[in-house]
Amino acid sequence: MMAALALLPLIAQLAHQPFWLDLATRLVILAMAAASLNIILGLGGLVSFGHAAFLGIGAYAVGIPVHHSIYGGASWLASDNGLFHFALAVGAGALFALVTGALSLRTKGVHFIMITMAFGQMIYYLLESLETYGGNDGLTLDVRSALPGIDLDNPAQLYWLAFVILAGVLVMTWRLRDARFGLALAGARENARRMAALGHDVTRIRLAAYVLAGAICALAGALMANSTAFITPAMTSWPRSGELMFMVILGGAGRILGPVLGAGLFVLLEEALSSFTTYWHLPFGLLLILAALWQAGVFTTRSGGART
Amino acid sequence: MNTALFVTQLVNGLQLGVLLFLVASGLTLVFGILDFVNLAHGVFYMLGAFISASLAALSGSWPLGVMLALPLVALAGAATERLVARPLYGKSHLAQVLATFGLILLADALAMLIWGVEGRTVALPAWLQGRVAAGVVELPVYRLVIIFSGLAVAAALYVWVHHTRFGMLVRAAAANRAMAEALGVDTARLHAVVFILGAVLAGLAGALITPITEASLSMGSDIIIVAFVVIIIGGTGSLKGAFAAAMLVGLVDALGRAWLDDLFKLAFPAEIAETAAPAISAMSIYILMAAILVLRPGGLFPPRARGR
Amino acid sequence: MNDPLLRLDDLHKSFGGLKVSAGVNLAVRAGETHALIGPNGAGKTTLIAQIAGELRPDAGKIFLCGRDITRLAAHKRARLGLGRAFQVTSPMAGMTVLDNALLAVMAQMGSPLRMWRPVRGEAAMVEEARAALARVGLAEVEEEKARDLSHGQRRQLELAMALAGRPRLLLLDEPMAGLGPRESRDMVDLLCGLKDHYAILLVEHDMDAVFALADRISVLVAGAIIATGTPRQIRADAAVRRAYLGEEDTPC
Ligand SMILES: Nc1ncnc2c1ncn2[C@@H]1O[C@H](COP(=O)(O)OP(=O)(O)O)[C@@H](O)[C@H]1O
Ligand SMILES: [Mg+2]
Repeated sequence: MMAALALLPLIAQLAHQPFWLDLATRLVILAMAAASLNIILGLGGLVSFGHAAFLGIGAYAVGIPVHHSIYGGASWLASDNGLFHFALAVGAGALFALVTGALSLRTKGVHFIMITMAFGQMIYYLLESLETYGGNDGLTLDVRSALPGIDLDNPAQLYWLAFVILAGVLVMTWRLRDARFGLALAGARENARRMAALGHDVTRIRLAAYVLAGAICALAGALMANSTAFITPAMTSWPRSGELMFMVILGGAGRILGPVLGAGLFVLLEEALSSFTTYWHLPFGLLLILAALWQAGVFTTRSGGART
Repeated sequence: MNTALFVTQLVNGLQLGVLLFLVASGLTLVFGILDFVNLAHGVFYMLGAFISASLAALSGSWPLGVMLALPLVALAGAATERLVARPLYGKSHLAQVLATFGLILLADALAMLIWGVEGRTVALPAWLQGRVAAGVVELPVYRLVIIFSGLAVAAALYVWVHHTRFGMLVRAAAANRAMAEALGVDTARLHAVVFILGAVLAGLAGALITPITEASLSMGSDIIIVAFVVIIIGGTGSLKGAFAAAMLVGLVDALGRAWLDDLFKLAFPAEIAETAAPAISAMSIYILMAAILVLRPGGLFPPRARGR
Repeated sequence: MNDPLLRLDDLHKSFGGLKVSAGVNLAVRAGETHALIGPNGAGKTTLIAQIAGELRPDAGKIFLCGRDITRLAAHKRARLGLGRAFQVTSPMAGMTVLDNALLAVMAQMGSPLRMWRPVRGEAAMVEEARAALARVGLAEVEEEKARDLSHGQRRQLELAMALAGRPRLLLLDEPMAGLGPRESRDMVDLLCGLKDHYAILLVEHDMDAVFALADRISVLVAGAIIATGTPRQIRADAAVRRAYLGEEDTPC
């Protein structure tokens, strides 16, 4: 699967289908975002429903400096340097995750779901209120991030960059799953109370995962901004978080390549269904309901899945 | 900030507060009693709005439209409870989240199919259109009607929960699920009643707000997060908490929008105040939520230890 | 050293109107096996939970080696040397026996935030986890999922995890509960081997085991300690006989 993805720009070029490359770029960036969510949701078992906020944070970490570099103002922030953008995205994502994670992790279960959702929506309303940056209408990036040796205006190069970062993220998830951190996360997912009795600071472990995931997802957001060259607060609205969650579940929560599979299926489904009807959310919603009922074992056994 | 503006914003805040209470009260009971995450609760709010608007247009009478809409919303609630919610009681929160998220997509797509992407407005009957003088300001009659009907519903709920046998069972179940089951309560019926009641209350809120704003596709997803904030602040499963928190959130939101601007202009240069004030007021209720989480993680009226 | 290892000073805890600890005073000395007995519902498990830091007492103080730990979080107490085996066995059911033991060892061995090196490659840690499993006789099943173990084996795993943290004091809540006669005898042998190396606070209903293992016994009835003494003194104590031992033939 990864090999096919690696060769995609060549295939798209040979088949004279530049659209495929757009689609594949979207897939790779979404897969990166889903892979970051997989760390908290899949490995950590925490149902976090505000993950799209990090996409928006990363995107505006590109959009805002670019905006100022062209239209002036806020000289300390104005820059078209891609390295600065990416560092800003990662830093802001991690910081937001640290603060909201520390608060959200004081609670569990249903509360945790609602609170992550609320903090995610807070970012949405915050971005919407920033009239300087287009408010609700969003921001068009007049230039892309400038990187040494890589031209992001070239779709194939943008794709390669995203692909390489995705591969890095996947390798990292794979390594950390089998390292101390992954074991501790799994232990906390299975039985947090027992973990505390053993001497583990469960909150700290989970917070570390939350911050790591937030930073990675913000990086995905920075790439997404460069890919679409147009960003809006809608990137962060909570249905986007739901879609990311759908990708993780569909690909198999906790599986290393699951997010790629999930993102692939999501992009294809979206493409196929939406070309067939503008009401594609109708079959998609139905599918989700059936998948959830199936996942809970409603159609087969009477036993439930793991509780959060 | 003058008195007239203050009174107007106070009334706006109270109006938002009672509507939030109508949406959140059913939701908090469903969380408390069923431990069920219903992201799709906002759907009933939207349905109440659209159905009442359509029926008002058909019948030529808005009050009649609202009267007829509520049983239909109840029907939608009953169907949802039976087909999606009930199979997932006691299952993983993740499955509940996925299923109800799918339900939102499905319902939104259906609503788009039936009512189109444009919103629906309704005209109030003449006798509701006037204004009344209240000291320095004139207030729209209809806003006062919303506030008083909301308060009346809250009072009726209070009486129902505290002075009827069925209400006592509801309270017992919200405080301690296992206990209620041990007492031999017909839980299936209790669950269905609570769920449908919640749907009707949300539908009523949707119907009431339509003459002021309009019935729109996104209204359900917008209100649900704020309702979550109300529940987190109030404490899961507590009607008292939902009421107090709804009023608090309504007032903070309305007064924040009016006051922060002035407040910031006192403290900061105009340039900063112009960006910061709207940004902070967009986030005010989430900041309130964060503060409550720090001070009282269980909310204002935390649930007692639950036997499970 | 005058300070006892663990000292409970006038501990109070209620659930609503129910007093589960009504002024508990108790000292566990270094090296001793101290049994805590009492009828079902006396408040033994809730007392252990307060010592371990899972429940906060309403009033009173808890000292470990003279240090006030009353307000310390559970995981910090564990790191100070409180090892706990639960009454209801609760290893991480979906993980292997070895992973469970590794988690126990890891809690005492530096940061859990290492993200690159595979745990199974950390020789010192794996060795120590295996040693803990071997001590309770679980070496053979280290790759099995905890949920696939027999009840007796899960109890042993529970104990191995408490041991793996090299505790100063073991809190054992009914390690014999639900075991068959044979398994019970194995467990008593195992605990006999441990009692020379660890201080133990042992909650147990099986009186043969208690009298075989304990250096001292405290009797908890309705949230209060009504007697503390050697097994001999306890056997002879009239109040204890009335309140507790007399009921022995109506098992709880
Ligand atoms: N979380 C709780 N909430 C309310 N009551 C509890 C709770 N935990 C224990 N109890 C009650 O406290 C009493 C003591 O329980 P416990 O400590 O488990 O007794 P023991 O271990 O001595 O059998 C029992 O009556 C039990 O029902
Ligand atoms: Mg007990």
